[in-house]
Amino acid sequence: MENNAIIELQNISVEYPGSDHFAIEDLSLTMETGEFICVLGKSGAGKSTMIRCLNGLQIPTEGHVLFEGNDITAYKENKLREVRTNMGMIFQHFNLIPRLSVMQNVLTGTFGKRNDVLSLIGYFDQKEREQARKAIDAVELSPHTNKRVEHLSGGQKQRVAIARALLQRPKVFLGDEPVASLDPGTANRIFQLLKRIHEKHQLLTLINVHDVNLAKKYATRVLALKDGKLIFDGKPERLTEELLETIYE
Amino acid sequence: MAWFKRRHIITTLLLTIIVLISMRAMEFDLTKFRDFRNMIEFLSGWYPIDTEIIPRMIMESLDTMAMAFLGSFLGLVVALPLAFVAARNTSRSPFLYGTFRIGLSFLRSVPEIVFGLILLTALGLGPFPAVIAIILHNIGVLGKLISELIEAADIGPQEAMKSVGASRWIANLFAIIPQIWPNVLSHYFYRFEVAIRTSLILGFIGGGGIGQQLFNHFKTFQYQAVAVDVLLIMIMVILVDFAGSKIRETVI
Ligand SMILES: Nc1ncnc2c1ncn2[C@@H]1O[C@H](COP(=O)(O)OP(=O)(O)OP(=O)(O)O)[C@@H](O)[C@H]1O
Ligand SMILES: [Mg+2]
Repeated sequence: MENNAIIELQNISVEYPGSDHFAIEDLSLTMETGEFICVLGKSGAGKSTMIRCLNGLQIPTEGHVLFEGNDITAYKENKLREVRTNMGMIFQHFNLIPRLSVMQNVLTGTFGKRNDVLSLIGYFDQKEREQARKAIDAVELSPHTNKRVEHLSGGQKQRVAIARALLQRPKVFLGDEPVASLDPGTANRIFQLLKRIHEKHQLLTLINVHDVNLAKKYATRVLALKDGKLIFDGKPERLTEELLETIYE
Repeated sequence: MAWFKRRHIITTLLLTIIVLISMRAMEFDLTKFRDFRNMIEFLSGWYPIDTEIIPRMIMESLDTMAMAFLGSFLGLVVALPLAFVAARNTSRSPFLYGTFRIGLSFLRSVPEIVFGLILLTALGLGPFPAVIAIILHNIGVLGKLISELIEAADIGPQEAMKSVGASRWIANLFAIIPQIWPNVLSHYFYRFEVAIRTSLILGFIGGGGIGQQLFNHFKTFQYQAVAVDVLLIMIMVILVDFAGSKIRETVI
């Protein structure tokens, strides 16, 4: 294996407390910078659980998660926070901070890198504001910079979330069903944007999707989960009708 | 019919019985209003109101406002951070959560007047013990109400702040406060209004302000002055309610 592996999962299993089955069972994977990975699987297959293991929002009950060669499973909260600053993440329900403007929401992307009194009162310097403006420009929301986020459409909200993640200057971009609440046209445009960002910044991108066509169109690699187990790992061309049936049956 | 289940009939019966028992205990008897002429006679003694004392009573009312404002506001200032420790989702440990919950319940369960009477022994007569009493009680009340708002806050923004690598406190501050702020404000203004009424009662035990004046005027049968006091109190409560809804409007 070449050593541009950025994330490595070594036999990870996740069992939620009080649950009688594994949400993820004995999963091993290597992911490299430059890959655009889509993860398929029906509801409850373990997609969210897996993605949350990558940035340490979920610590696996067994196995190890390596980020740039370092085992993060034993990290304390402070070191985990440092790891997370390298990974932008977007969500199905956007998870923006209500009642704040687009600009303010995007600026919260810097909160991982600073932890001082100034950020407590929401002060940002010229450089940070400039970066935020660039990020807002990159997601084509400049005319809405000072609007409050609840006045935006779903697609625009997701763009704000993407800009917030961009402000982290991430090496990894994670998406947990980021287009599941959007119409097909908007979903497609969000994927175009993600792909553009992916190429421009040389990222590892990993997105959970329900729509197989989006995966086929954009992914360089597709993973499929079923009942917490990996049942497919390969190029999107290799996804057969038969396989898709097994995934979603 | 499915609309009236047996459960509902039983509930109604039980409620009726409890109401009747309580009425018996309270000597609740509307026929006693036979003597309402006395009341009218009494109230007619309130008129004409004593215009001479109005300026002085306005100053006393301002004292009451200051007491109520300080008591509720400093209560809020202390309650807000405590609420994060007393909320299940933001507390650092179940032990801290439990301890602070119980502490807030304790503060809430002691009425202001009891705090006031106890503090009198140390601080003497005057508005200061009254303010402290209102602060203590409000820490308990606002702390509980705000911790419940925190527990009900949408988890999404908190997840997002965690995933950018923000520290706990920054995440709480930015992901939770903007969500709960309008509700915090309406709780606060309601408590402000309640504090005005409380400070009247505390006036009866020497807390100063319009409450003490009201008590004195009553005791010395100066009903035309009592009328002034009551009017001013009503105006204050309405003003606070009005200011509260205006401020809330601009925040939402
Ligand atoms: N916090 C939790 N506590 C207990 N069990 C959980 C929790 N989160 C998920 N699970 C369980 O773990 C399994 C995997 O869930 P997960 O959310 O990872 O699936 P998913 O593929 O993301 O599904 P969806 O498409 O519905 O988002 C499911 O059986 C689910 O019920
Ligand atoms: Mg999910």
